[in-house]
Amino acid sequence: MAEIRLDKLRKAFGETVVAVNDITITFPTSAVTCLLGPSGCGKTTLMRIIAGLETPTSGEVYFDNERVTTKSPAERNIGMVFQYPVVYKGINVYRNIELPLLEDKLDAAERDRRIKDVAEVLGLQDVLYRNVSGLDNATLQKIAVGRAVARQPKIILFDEPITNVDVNSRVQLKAALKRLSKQHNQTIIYVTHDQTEAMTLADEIALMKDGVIVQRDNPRRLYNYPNDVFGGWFLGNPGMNFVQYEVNGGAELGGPLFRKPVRFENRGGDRTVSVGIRPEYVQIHPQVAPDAAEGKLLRKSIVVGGQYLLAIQLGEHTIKAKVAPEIGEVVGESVWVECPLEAITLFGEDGAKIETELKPA
Amino acid sequence: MLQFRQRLGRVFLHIFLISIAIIWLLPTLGVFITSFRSSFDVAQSGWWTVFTNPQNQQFTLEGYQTVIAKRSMDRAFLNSLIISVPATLIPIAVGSLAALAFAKMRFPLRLPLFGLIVALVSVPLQATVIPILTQYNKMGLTGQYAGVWLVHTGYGLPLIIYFLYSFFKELPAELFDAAAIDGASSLQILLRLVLPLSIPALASIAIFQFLWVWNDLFVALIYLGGAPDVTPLTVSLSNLVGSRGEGWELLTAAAFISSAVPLFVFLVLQRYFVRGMLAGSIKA
Repeated sequence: MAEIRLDKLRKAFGETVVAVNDITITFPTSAVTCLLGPSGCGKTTLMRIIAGLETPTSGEVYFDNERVTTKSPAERNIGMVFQYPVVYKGINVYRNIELPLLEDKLDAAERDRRIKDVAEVLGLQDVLYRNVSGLDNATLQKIAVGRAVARQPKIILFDEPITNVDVNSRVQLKAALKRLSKQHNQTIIYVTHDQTEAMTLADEIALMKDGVIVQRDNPRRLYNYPNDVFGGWFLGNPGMNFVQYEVNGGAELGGPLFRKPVRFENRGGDRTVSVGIRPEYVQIHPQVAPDAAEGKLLRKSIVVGGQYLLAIQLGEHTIKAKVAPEIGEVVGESVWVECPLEAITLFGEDGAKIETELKPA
Repeated sequence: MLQFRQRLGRVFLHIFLISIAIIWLLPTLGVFITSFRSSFDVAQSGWWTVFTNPQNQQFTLEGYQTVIAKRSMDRAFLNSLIISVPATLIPIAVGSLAALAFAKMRFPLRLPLFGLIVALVSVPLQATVIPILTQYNKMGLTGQYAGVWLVHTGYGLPLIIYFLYSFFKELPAELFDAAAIDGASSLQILLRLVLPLSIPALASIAIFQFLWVWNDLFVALIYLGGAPDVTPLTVSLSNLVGSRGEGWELLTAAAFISSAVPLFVFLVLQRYFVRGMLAGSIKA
């Protein structure tokens, strides 16, 4: 019900540190957008500017068409949940969730209804009238979430809310977050450095690096077709394989990845290009296969789900491949590697994706 | 082998700690025993003769009786409480507000002002006596409880502000961010967020301040004078000993009455004490 529009937003700390560098983006209504990026990429600063906790050096923030850049956090009518679970001591869980509701001048019956509602979704019924002292971290964080949600703000911001919560409660809390977000069609921004969290929660992910949003896309597309070398490297575990080719403006790629040469359109005339392919899309044959290039197996290890992670030497390069247990078990010292053309993304000298189709030459 | 060495180390550690505790407790034990001896015995022999020559000893409550009944120690005890409790609570109330402002608010000249206050820790108390007393005499505050509360507040504040400041500074910034978003008032921030998390710090600074005020002789003597209706324990105590060293049984009895309160306060608050002492140094 409220889109967030950022216009040429910039935030500098001192002379040298630019945390947010000229970001213009619109976060759509009723969607969960994750701000994902490594530590220090500016994602938290960006969120704090949206919340009004930080004043931008330049640029504007709009909620729908209303300019809120200079409004105080309390005036923006938002909810926010932090990494550290914030609860008000000396009052019980119920009063904690009620606190921001009092600000909105709702009548007692409506307040009660909303508090009971969120308490149910979050599984807080049993502790609703308990004092907050002595409750565990996960419960405290649920209270903080409840307080942010019960006010039914149009916008809710989450700043790594489940980092301090134990693994079991994480799943529960994540499920509750998802349910709550669908219930009231709120615009949700969720900051995290954990890609699994982002992939499972988000409708859209905005990938950040050095104060810039590199790409904003749905999780699948972002994962499969990163716009930038950074996206390929940062996402996935392990990240994308990159193999550099000296093409000198040419448009043909051969060994070591491809047994038969492939062509692409080198419109930019790049001298070197990087071929990117995710480890799970690399096909491995234990025996000689028609279109596969021969490589040497360097290491083999088992990863989550019984899959094998292989490190393979191809010419001067080492690439990683994730394969099913049946293949992983039988591979010998020599393996045959095939890279399906549709799973490959090409990146130019500047690290940006080259829009082209790969075809057998 | 390793276990054995570890255990041996522990044994030495315990012996070491127990010896220190004994050395520290020895004078207290002497005072305790003396307070139950008659004035004749005290003049005749040392308190340790209680152990070396037990049959020739007489124990008596005379010292306590004299101190409480004849020397109006009960009144002095009450005076001490009337002085100490407000002189502890007022500076902590004022100091916590100041510390919160210095730690978490932004205003011009914040650092210079804070530096100035911290620098005041190093001003010797004695240097302030004459100017303050001159003013007090003009304002009629000499010999008044309010006067001592005020000076104790002044003398205590720099350290209290500095101590609480270093504790408040380590409180997570999220508390204040969340409060800004929820629209919580400054009073709610202080009472519901900051103070409940600061109980260890408050308790330990309260012990410091209380002990200092309770045991203080100098300030009480100077600003209260000798008027018996306001004189605290420490002043009465110092009057008990005659100039030729007589009256030891009275002094020791009174000293024990006097130390009962700090002992009680310490035992009640001690579990916070260690946590509070570590507060500034280790991040929770």
